[in-house]
Amino acid sequence: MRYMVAGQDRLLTQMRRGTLEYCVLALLRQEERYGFDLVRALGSVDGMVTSEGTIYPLLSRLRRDGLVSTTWEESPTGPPRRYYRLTPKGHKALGEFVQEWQRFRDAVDRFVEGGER
Amino acid sequence: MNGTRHREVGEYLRRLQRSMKDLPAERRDEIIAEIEEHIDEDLAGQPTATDADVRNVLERVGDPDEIAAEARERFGVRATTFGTPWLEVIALVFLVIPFLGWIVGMVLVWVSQVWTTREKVMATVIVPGGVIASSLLTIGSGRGSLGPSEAAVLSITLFLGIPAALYLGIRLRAATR
Repeated sequence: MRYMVAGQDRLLTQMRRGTLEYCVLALLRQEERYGFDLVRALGSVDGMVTSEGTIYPLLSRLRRDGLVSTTWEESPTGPPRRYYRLTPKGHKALGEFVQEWQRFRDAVDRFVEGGER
Repeated sequence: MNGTRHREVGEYLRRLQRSMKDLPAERRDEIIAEIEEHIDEDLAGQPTATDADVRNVLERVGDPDEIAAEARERFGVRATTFGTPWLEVIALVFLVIPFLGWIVGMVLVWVSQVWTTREKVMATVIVPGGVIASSLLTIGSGRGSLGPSEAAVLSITLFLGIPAALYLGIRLRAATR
């Protein structure tokens, strides 16, 4: 028998979904990447994504919101690839999130890691 | 690609197309095109892929229904039901019957996953709202006992289940089209 707060599964799913988009933006902060590469980078970290395909609806959404843009570039091996890059709006959104996230994470850690220090 | 796309990949992409058919065409086509590129890219990296390898690739990409659900969530599209929504139709029939019928109808409405919470709330408050309003009017008229006209107003409000059912019926058609 597992003991869980009501709705815990749902909360974890929502937390993952809400933060995933910033992980995508963060992966694009230094360099542009093509979809496959981006998805592999996210998938290589345990607990981040359930299946690779679910990232594409997010990418589509980020593009529609103007946080990322795409360009086609030739690939040395196969067909041309769609590269994603951060727009200025995307940079700004990421910067704001990072600040808030650090505050939030520190606050939660303070309680869940064995009381105040 | 090189024209020898694996049969299972084609089958997978058709399933994906079906799962996402309620999404805006432009978004759907874009997502499917990218997933197709993803699969091609993955397979291009393993030129000697066996059937089992191909299945592995598709498994990692994930269940089409799950991808479609994620897309609905990201684009704020509600899930559509196909075929006759029996639960909802039965709920509407009960709703128009005053008292017990209305209660049963309301329970079914809240069980349903087709209507949004907002629509459910709207439909729920119509009848009690009408009864309360007409009671206040009756009390406000200053007489202690119910006259025949007040009783008539009160009993008419009990049939406010009909507009509530109509409203939900219209929303239901929009959701199942």
